[in-house]
Order: sequence, then C-alpha cells, then structure tokens
Amino acid sequence: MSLFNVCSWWSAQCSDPGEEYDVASLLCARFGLESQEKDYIIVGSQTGQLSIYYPHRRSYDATDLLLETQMVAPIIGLYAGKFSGNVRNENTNQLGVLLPNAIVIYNVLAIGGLADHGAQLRLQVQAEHKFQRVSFGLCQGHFGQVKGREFFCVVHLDGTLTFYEQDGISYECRFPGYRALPAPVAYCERTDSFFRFSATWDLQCFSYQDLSHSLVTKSSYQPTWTQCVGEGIVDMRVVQVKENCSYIMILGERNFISLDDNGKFNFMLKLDYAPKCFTSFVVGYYWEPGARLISAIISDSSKLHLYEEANIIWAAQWPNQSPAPVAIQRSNVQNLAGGIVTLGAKGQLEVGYLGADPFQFQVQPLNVQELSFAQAHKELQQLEDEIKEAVDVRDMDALNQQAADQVRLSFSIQEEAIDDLDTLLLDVPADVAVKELPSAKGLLRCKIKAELAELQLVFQTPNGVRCSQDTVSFVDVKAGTSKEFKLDFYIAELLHIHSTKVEVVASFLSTRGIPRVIQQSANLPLSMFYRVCQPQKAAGIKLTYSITSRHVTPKLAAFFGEFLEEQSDAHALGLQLLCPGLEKQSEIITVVAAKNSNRLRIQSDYVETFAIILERIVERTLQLDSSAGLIKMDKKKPKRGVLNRCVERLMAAPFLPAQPILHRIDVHHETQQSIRKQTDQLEDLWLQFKTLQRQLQEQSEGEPKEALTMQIESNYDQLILEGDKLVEIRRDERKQRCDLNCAVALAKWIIHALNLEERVVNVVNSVLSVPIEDWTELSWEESMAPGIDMLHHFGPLTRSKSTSTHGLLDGNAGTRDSFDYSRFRRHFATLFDRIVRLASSPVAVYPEKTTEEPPTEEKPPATQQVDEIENMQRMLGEKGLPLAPPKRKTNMSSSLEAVEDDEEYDEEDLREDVGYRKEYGATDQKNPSNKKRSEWVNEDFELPTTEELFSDLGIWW
Amino acid sequence: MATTTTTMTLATLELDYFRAVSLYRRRSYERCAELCNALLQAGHDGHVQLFATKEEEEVVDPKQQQQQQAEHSRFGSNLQRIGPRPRGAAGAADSGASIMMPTWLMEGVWQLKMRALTQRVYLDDLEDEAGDEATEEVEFERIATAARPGSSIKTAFQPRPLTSQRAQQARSRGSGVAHSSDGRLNSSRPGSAAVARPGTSLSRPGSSLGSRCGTASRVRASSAAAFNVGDATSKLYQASRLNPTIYAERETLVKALFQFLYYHEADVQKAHSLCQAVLEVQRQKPSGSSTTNVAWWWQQQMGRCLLALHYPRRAEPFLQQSLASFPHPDTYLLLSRVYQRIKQPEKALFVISEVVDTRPFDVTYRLEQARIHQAMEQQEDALQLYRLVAKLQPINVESLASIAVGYFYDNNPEMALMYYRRILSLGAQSPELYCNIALCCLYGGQIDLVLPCFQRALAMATQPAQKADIWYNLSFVAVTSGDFNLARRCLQLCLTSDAQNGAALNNLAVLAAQSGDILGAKSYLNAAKDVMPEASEVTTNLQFMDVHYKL
Repeated sequence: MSLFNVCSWWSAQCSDPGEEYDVASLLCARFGLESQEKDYIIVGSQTGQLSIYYPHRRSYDATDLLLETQMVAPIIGLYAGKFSGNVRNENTNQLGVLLPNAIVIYNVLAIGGLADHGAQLRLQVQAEHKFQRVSFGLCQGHFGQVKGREFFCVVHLDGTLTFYEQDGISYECRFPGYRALPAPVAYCERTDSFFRFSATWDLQCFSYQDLSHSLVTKSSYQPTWTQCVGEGIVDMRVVQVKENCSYIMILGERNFISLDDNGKFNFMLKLDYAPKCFTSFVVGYYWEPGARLISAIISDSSKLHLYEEANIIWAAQWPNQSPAPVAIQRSNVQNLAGGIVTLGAKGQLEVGYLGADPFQFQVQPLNVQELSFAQAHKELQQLEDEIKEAVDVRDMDALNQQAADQVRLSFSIQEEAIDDLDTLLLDVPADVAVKELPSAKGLLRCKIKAELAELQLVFQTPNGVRCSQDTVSFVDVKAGTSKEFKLDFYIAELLHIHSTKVEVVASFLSTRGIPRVIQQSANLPLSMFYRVCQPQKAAGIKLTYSITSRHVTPKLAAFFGEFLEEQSDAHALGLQLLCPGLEKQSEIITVVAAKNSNRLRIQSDYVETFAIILERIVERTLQLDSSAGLIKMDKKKPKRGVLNRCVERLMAAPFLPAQPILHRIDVHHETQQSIRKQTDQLEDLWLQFKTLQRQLQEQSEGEPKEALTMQIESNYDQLILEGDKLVEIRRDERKQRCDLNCAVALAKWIIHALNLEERVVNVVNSVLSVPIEDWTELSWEESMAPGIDMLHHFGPLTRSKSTSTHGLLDGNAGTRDSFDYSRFRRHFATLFDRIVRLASSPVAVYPEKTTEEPPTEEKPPATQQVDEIENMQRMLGEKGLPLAPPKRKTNMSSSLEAVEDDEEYDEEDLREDVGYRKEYGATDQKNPSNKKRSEWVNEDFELPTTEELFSDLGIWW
Repeated sequence: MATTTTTMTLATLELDYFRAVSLYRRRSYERCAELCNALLQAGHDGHVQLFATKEEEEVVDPKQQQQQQAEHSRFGSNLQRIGPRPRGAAGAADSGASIMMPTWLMEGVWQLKMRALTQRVYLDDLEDEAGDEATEEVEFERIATAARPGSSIKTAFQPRPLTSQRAQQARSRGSGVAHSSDGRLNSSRPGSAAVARPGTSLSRPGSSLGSRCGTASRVRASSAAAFNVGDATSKLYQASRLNPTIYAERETLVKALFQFLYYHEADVQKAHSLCQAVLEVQRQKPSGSSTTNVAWWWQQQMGRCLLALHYPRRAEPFLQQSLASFPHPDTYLLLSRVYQRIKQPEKALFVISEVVDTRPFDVTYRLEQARIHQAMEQQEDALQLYRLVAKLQPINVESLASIAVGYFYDNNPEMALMYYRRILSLGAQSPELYCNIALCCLYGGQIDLVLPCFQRALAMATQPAQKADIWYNLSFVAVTSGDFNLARRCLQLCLTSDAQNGAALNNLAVLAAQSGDILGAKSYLNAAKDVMPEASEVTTNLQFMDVHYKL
C-alpha cells in the first residue's frame, strides 16, 4: 500500500514466457567493451535461454536486444567478473554461466552494427569447468585478497564447494557440520571470509585460509564465529559500507537482518509483509563519509520498500498487480542512473524508477443500472427468500417440508424376518447368537438435493435391538449425491422390547450453517419377536379394543399379516415372545377377534407381551383408516373439549392393568435403591482402600507390613466382589427398565385409544413417554414425580375445584429435598384410576353415537358435541372456563354466565397473549382487542387460574 | 526413468531438487511441494530410507554408511520410513541397475517440502494474537501466501472475533489463490457503540463480538492437512507419530520441524514437547561454545508455546532468559504479550520501552506500545503513538485505521472519514473499509454517500462473515432512519450469512420486543446468550425482561 508507483522506464518480455526465472537469473554487469559503457542486463532462464539487453532509451526497442542464445542445459546462475588472467584490458569482465554440471566462462565480444542494424554481442568460450555434482550457486571474489582477478567457487546442492582459483586449478571442500538445505554462500573481501547459512539456522563465518586447506584435514576447523539467525533466509548479500566494516545483509523469511563482518548484530527489523527478494547497495563511496546503505525489498504483493539502514524511506507499488518480481538489481543503464531492474518469474524484465508519480487509486465506478421496479422487486424477493430460508421459523411445516426436499429419505424395512444373520460379523453376543433369533433387513435411500456442510444419519432402535450401522456422518456433501444403505436389524440383547419402531434421524447443516433435522420411521416385522403358538383360553390380563372405523375389518389377518394368510379366517392367534426366551415361562399372548362384533380381545399373563401387539393394532387401524382416506388426522392443535379423535376409529375398553404396571415400577425402584446402596458401600470400601494405601506409604521401613498387607488384600478382594455385584445389579436394572418400558408403553397404547378428551390423552401420553431413562443422580421415578404431581393437582385431571391452588402451588414450587416414593406410587395409581373412571363414564353413550354419525364428518355437529363437553366439564370438575364452549343447559353449576356464542373458542387469540405484561404498556394500547381480554386476565382473580397458569407456562393441550 | 547410467539419472534428480529449491525461494510453495512429492515418490520407489543414520557424521562411503545403519537402527526404527528396508546386500546390488537416490537428497527434499508447507500457511502468531481482549474493536490481519488452514492453535489463542480474513481464507482453502498483502488490512468497524439506540431502554447492542464458534472454526478444524489430501507422501509428515526425544538430537531438522508443528500442524502441544526435549538435550550436553548462542531460539519458542497454551507465567522466565542472550524482536513482543495476559500492562510497557530506547524508529515496537495503551484504555496515549507510527511509516494502515476509529468514537466521524479515505487512496480496498466509510458518512451527515458505500461493500463482500457484518451495520442505517422493519430484515440477512452473530440476535430481540413480540424477543435473547455468554448487553437485556415482563 503506497501512494506512489514504481514508474516503468523500459520493459521487455524475455524469450521464454514460462515460469523459469529465479533470483539468480538476472545479472546487471559491464564487460568493458567500450569506454562510456553502461550496464548490460543479462537474463538466463532455467530452460537455457540466455539474453543480453542494453537499454538505450525509454521504452523497449528491438536494437536493445544484443544477444539471444540457447544453452544446452538450464542456466542456474549468471555471474560476471574477472575470471580469466589472460586479458589485456583490465576493465574487461567475463560472463560466467553456471549450468547444472559445468561452469562456462565466456568472453563477450561486441560486433558493431551497420546502419539500422544495431550492435550485437557474441560469446566466446574462454574456459569450461565440468563437475559431477549438480551446482546450486556460485560465489566469487578476490579470494585471498588476490588483486586484479577474481576466483570463484561453485556451491553444490549437496553442500560441497568446488574452488577454481586459477585457470585449471581446482579443489573441493566441504563446510563442517551438517548438511543444510542449499543456501547462498557469500564472500566478504574485507575479512577474506565466507559466510554460510548452516542447517541449524546459524550464520557461520569461515576464513578462506581454513577452507582452502580443509581438503587436507577434513572438518578439523571451526567457524570463526557463529550467530543464530533463527529463521530461514531468502537471500544474503555482503556490502562494504565503511573502510573498516562490511555489512552482511540477510533477508530472512520474517525479518530483515544486518550484521557486521565481526558477527555483531546491527539491526533486526521485523517485516510486516512477506518478502520476496532484495538488493542492498551503498549510495556514495564507502571510503567517504556520508555513504548511505540503502536496501530495497520487494514484498510478495509487488511493493517496493526502500530502507536506509532499518528505517523506511520510500514505498512504491508496481502499477500492474501481477505477481511480484523474483529478482531485483540496481543498475546504471544508459540514460538512467540508478534504475531499478526487476525480473518477474515469467521473464518480465523491467527497468523502473521511483518518482513522484502518484499512485492514483481510482475507485472503480459502481455501475448501478437504472433501478427498475421489477428488478428491485426481484432482488428484494431474493433477499426475503434468504431470510425465510434461514432464520424465519414461524412456518415450521414449510421449513420441514423444505428440509425434506433437500434431503430425501426413503426408509423401509422388509416385512419378512430372516433367519440367516451373520452373527459373527455383526458381533452379536454369544448368548443371543445361540438362540438364532430372526432378524430383519432394511434399506435407506438418501438423496441429497442441496449442498450440505455436514450430514449425520442416526438410527434409533428400541433397547435390545441393534442396527448394523448406528451413526453415519458425512462432511461437505455435494448436491445431487445419493446414498444407499443396506441395514440389518437384529436382537442383540435378551430383553423385553417395547416397540418395533425404528427411527432414522437425519440432521444436517447447510453450507451456511443452518441446521435442519428430519426423521422417518419404519416398523420391524412382528415375526422378529413372536412365533405362533396355541392360543390360550384364559389369561390374567384381558384388554378389549373395538374397531369403530368402517374401513377396517376386524379380522386378525389384517393386523398380523406376518402370521396369518390374507384370506385366513382365524379368529384366535396365539403368539409367543421369542426374545428373552426364558426356559421357565413361555410368554404367550392371545389375540381373539369376536365373531359377531367388531371387538378384539388381547389377553396374556404377562405385561411385557402387550406393548408391541397393541402398538401394531392401534397403528395399523389408524393407518388402514387413513389410507381409506376419508377422515384425516389433521395436525391442527387439539382444541379444548374435543374428544380423542382416535376413538372414531378404535376404542379401548377403559381398563388399565394398574397393578402389574405398578409392580414393574416397584421392582425398578427397588433395583435403583439397591444400586445406590451398593454404590455407597463401594464408596466406603474405596475410602478404606485409600486409607490403607496411605498407611502403607507412611509406614517406615523397619515396621512389619504383614498385617497391613493382609488387610489390604482382604479389602481389595471385597472391593472386587462388591464391584462385581454392582455390575450384576446394573444388568438386572437394564432388564427391569425394559420391562417397565413395556408396561408404560402398554398403558400408553391403551390411553391412546380411550374415550377421553383429546388434550387429556395427549398430556398423559406425553408424560408417559417411552423409553424411560435413568440418570445417575436421578432415577426415572424421581424425574417423573413432578410431572405426575402436576397432573394430579392441576390440569384436566384434577379431582375437585376445592383443592386450593394456593397451597399446592407453593408446596409444589419449593424443591422437595427427599423423594417420597410412596407418594409417587399413590399418585400414579390414582392417575390410572382417574383416567379409567373418566373414560368409562361417557362410554355408554358415545360409541353408539359415533357409529350413527357419518364418519366422513370432521367433527360431530356442534350441539351433540356440546353435550359431551358439558358432561366432560362436569367430570373434569374444572372451574368454569372463561371462554369455554357454549353452555346451553341451565342446570350448570358454573358461576359464570353462559356465553351465548356458538363460535368455538379460538385458541390462537390466547396464544398471542402469552406473557402478558404486568404493567400494561404501549403494546396494549395499540391493540384494543387486547384490552378486552386483559380484563379477565387479572381483574377477578388475584392468582391466575390453573388454566391461565398452564397457558402462561406455555403448556398446551 | 529409463535412463542409461546412474549418474545421468542422479543428475536429473538433483536438477529437480534444484528446481524445487528455486521454486521455494521464489515463494511458489505449492508447486515446490508438488515437485517434492514427485521426488519423494521416486525415492520411495527406490526404497530410500529416510533418517536411517544418526547425523553425527554424514557418510560418503557406502560401506561405512551401512555399518552405521546397523549401529543406529534403533533410531531408524522410530522415525518415519517409507516402504520396507531392503537396504542390505540386496539393496546395494540392485542399485547398479536402477537409480539410487542418495539419502542426503531424500532428506533434503523431505525437509524442503516441510519448509514449503510451513511457509505456505505461515501466519505471524504475534500479529494474529494481538490483544486477546474480547472487546477489541479493531482487527488487523496478516495474510499468509496461501489459504489459512484450520488449526487448533487458533482456538488456543481465543481468536479475535469479527470479520476475519482468516476465516474466509479457511473457507476458500481449496482455491490456493496466492492472496497476500502488505501491512495490515483493517476491518475495524465503528459499529454501534457510540450511538444510543432509539426507542428502547436497553443498553447498547455492541458490535459483534463473541468468538465465532460456529462453522468457521469447524472448517478450520479440518486443518492444513486438507492440502495433503490425495498426497501419497503425506504419511511422511504425520506429526502425531513423531517422537520428540528422537528428533531433539537432530539439530539439522529440529527447528524446521518445530515450525512445521507449530505453524502448519498447529499442534502446540507437540511443538512444546519438542521444545522441552531439545532444551533437555542442550542441558545435558557439555556447554559448548555455541550453546548460549543457540539456546535463545529455543527459549523463545518455549515461551511462544507456553503462551499459546495459556501458561503465561511459565513462559515468562524462558522469554526473559532468551532476551538476556539475544534481543530478538519477537521475544520483546512475546514478553509484552505475556505481561498483558497476566494483566500487567505496565510491565509490558516497560519491556517495550527498553527496546524503544535503543531502536526509537522501529514501528514494530511503537505499534505494540500503542496497542498496550489501547488495551489499558488510555486512548490519548495510544492515539499519540499511532500518530507517531503514521509519521514514521506513512503507509502503516493499522495506525491510520486506529486513528480513524479513535476519531469515530470521539464523535468526530468527519475526521475519521478523512483517515479512511486516506487508507482507500493507499489502495487498500475492502468491503470492511467501505462499510466503515459508510458509517462515517452516516454519522457525519453525508447521507447521500451512505447507501452507495454500503452498496459497494455488499458488492465486494464475498465471504459470509463480511456480508453478515455489512448487513449488521446496515441495520443501523435503518434504525437511524426509523425504519424498524427494514432494520429487522437487515439483521435477519445478517443472520442468514452468519447464524452465530450474537449482536444481531440481541438487536433483533430488541426490535422484536419493541414491536410487542415478547416471546420472540426472549428466544432471540436466549439464542444470543448461547452465542456470546459473557456479553453484558445480552445479560442486561435478559434481566430487564425478567423484571419487566412476565414470561
């Protein structure tokens, strides 16, 4: 960045336009051909092209090119000096061309031009020295302070040096120490020494005396001095600045360093750019006072920085932003003293000068076209779309739809179970493998339509069932890729399984970091878990479902296609659980379809057998019904007072096997307790163990240790024993957790089809979520307790309105320290009890009614619904709802006046009011409708009603 | 490689090596690495063994070499090695037939490639780290010659937030465009701070702070190694397999190796253990003539690692020792960082002033001084120093930008504008700069220039983070002109580009609350809290909501 430009005075493109030039490819030198001679510019490429230019005036002229020739080998470096002794003219310099395996010394001869044809140069081989090792560079100078001629040494890639002192005399030597990456070697005439950059990033100084004798006694000499530079170097130069002092200028990779020839640091300048090449020179004569040491450094972004010593004095920019030059020299060419000669990597040769030509930065005009309305609208639309896509979460359905479009999943599981599972490959535990349980095959196809930054697929299976792949992750997924996974589902643990549902969750991040999640599920075939057996006549638990949908024939074959032929008329089906497969008991469940009515009876002695069967019955009914397509389960928020819509298709008899379920909970709870006890015990033992160990350490040498050792051993044995016990209990716990899962799922499926208000069903089902979880600090019971408690005291299941909200609220809000299991159990039992009671009361009336109703209707007519709801209201015992559905009958005990309004209560209104303000601020005034509502919010009651409380908590059903 | 004689092929190999070195010194690091790959592959095919010998003495005589190999095979076994080891009699026998790459060449190529990879992604950690204060408003970026790779070092450093080219570069890693610049690019945004938000009693929204823990860092985490994808020789550079104690003895390599670990692999932990091993080796050695000479380097690196690992107190003695033996500029800066980290800026100033006394015109130290003053919130002193820097080095963009920011927050947007225009005339065009100019115009009353500048900034912005910042700042234009709906859209667009922009979330919350959507406001605030948990604005707003709204 600079205000100024490097002005171009003369420029040319060298003959090889490839990237074949480097810092050693440029040489500015005189050959002593004429008296008023200026500098020639010599360029040699790594393809062997050699050109000599002699700029005459501003801008390039064809006559400026004096020589162009092709060498047999790449030119590694170009050098000029008095390399030969037999020359008459003492100003004459020879050109040394360094090739990989030879150095050729040329005499440069001038041939005068005739008329318009300019002068030419010709090269005459003066000497050629060949060598075996490939060369890297050359170091020249009056070695040994010889006068009138220069010696040189070739630096080879492997670090050896070959000295050529006089024509024909040569010898090889090596620097002591380790081999470094090839780096230039510099010679200082004043001290007659060589500087070398060593492998340890030190600058080492060797005297010529030592080097020239080194071939005799190899590596027996030491550097005169060593200084750590501490970084790699780009280039190095020696400049004599004073009579008694030379400076070594080093362009490091990060710093610009100057040392004097005694190894003392002159300065170290931290560069805030990436340097590329540099040159240093003295303005004036070093033996006169006032000589200035100037350095020019070119940065990687084509900027020239001029320093006097370490202070910046000028900065200029090359106007064309092409890659920075790779070589720079200061040179006196004809008509331009002190020109800056630079060579680009692709052979762009340029002679430039500084100058006050300001670097005119022109801001590019922003070509904004005349704003057309359509265009602007389109752009705005585009921006709006972007917003919508990324941050607007109001329309979740659309977002999910879009997500599903971006990643299309199709997930299916084959209906048939398969017996030939490769148990070894899938690492099935031996005890399971022995049973040779059937497995199922699934297929997941995944088509990605948009580019994604990350995609993760997770397969969620019920406890005990495993998928051959559980998590798959991809990074940087291209749009349009499609993937296919073949999956195996198999039983990996002998547990009771509560569900056949397998979920695939695909979560992905778009390239802009927007996360989306989609999921799909499929069911495992029942034949993975059951096998057909003789139906049982009687059993401990009997459940009844009536199929109320007209589209579902209550035939067993419709539900259990895995076991029965489609045409089969069987009315009873006995199924035996395969999975834990205990020897003592065979867990059999029997499903009987009534011959004359539309009922199904499911009976078994074991709670665990039900979950999957009920799941199948309920889901299959709903599925068959909706595929008939007449009633849609729209996803609208359930409305207050609407009955469970499931009942229109399938209704369960209001019976919950509460005792067995509670028994499962008891067992689970006991195990939890014993785990805690066991852990405490282990903790004690562990403490003991630590104390004993400490005692052992503290004991001095002399004391006998036998007693202590014995103690430790017995303690250790006990520790192991108790630890094993804990492992055992944990295994038990896992089993019981699965049993409990089944039990809870059973209750859940029954409640799902009970004749209750829909929001009650939803809320209870969401409380009874499966699979249950235990945490280390909190068992399932403890985590459930507040929820059950809440259901007990508030909400639709409250027993009576007399329970004061005050006290209970307070009692509830305070964090109870100890968990009271009996209380929890009691609440659980009463919860079931109350659900059953609620469900059984209207049952007598309802089923007949619905069957009379044409099932095509979305809702039963309002009048009838009102009856139902009023019954419901009474039963729920709720305080009259402020905006409850119309109440026509006058025998209501409600204290509020009946609202003569047939319209259904619109829940949306209330929702907007969530989080109403305590002080009515500006927003309320703005919206007059709010005012009306706010009247009932806080005027009559000091505390909000339970209903309000629930809405304030954001709980909806 | 069906060349006739061994020497001929050896010569070609050596010539290739020369070419690689030549590419290295003209900074074509990627091409250099490619060429090295080819050479390494050739060596691999010829079963050349790397570092089989201990480097006590490099051997010319093959017989002796083999002998040494046998002796030191225990060293060889732990080092990275390509292919099997048919280096016995069989190897010697077939060397006549096919080409045998000399070991020194192979090792040279290996080291060269390592250096090239390091240089390719080198980014001065001192520049990068400058001022780890989270409230830093100004950002300076040095750009390496290639895309900045991802690196855990960044997370170790608690990277500066904001529009960073670093992140952008990380994203554009594949492109390999040599993107470089002199000086510092400034992307300081005189954001919202000085301006009171109209219409709300909430505190100022603050400009986007908070570390960007989202996508960018994730991309970064995929590391510089991405360049090596598909590179058969990449297994030669597996830092994880490296045993520091073995390499510590190899003086030839160990410094380059350290830089490779630190800058390329960004494995500070490993680099640190390498440092430790080397210092241990040096301690055990009888103190030679050069030990003190060399030790400062390792002590400096030790300090560097410890600082990066967040152990500033342990870093201090190392840096002090290093400084005692050699006054390297980096050591001064590192030491100053150490003192700033342990909240002793006075001491940092003292350290810097020591070197400033000897080198009063070196802007490096002056800038550091200014930054320390700024961190100490001594704006006047800082600006004074920035002015001095601008005088010493008129092209120093950091100082110009800092002066401009100073003016901006001093309610003097016109002066700030002058400085920004000066930067612009230096040729440093960037979307951030246009954005800043636009803001200066906005608050300076040159309304006609505001939107064109933002338009320019938007047109130039290529990276999501830049776009996010511009949209964020545009929202202030909307707020100033009272168009809250537009402001909301701007903020939403900001979030579109950068979903983790805490300031935007916060401001969106304020706007939502203003329009009555309390729940929305709350959820925005919570989101903002997730992104920047320590921002006071968000906390205050949340508290305000808790007090005044019933939710």
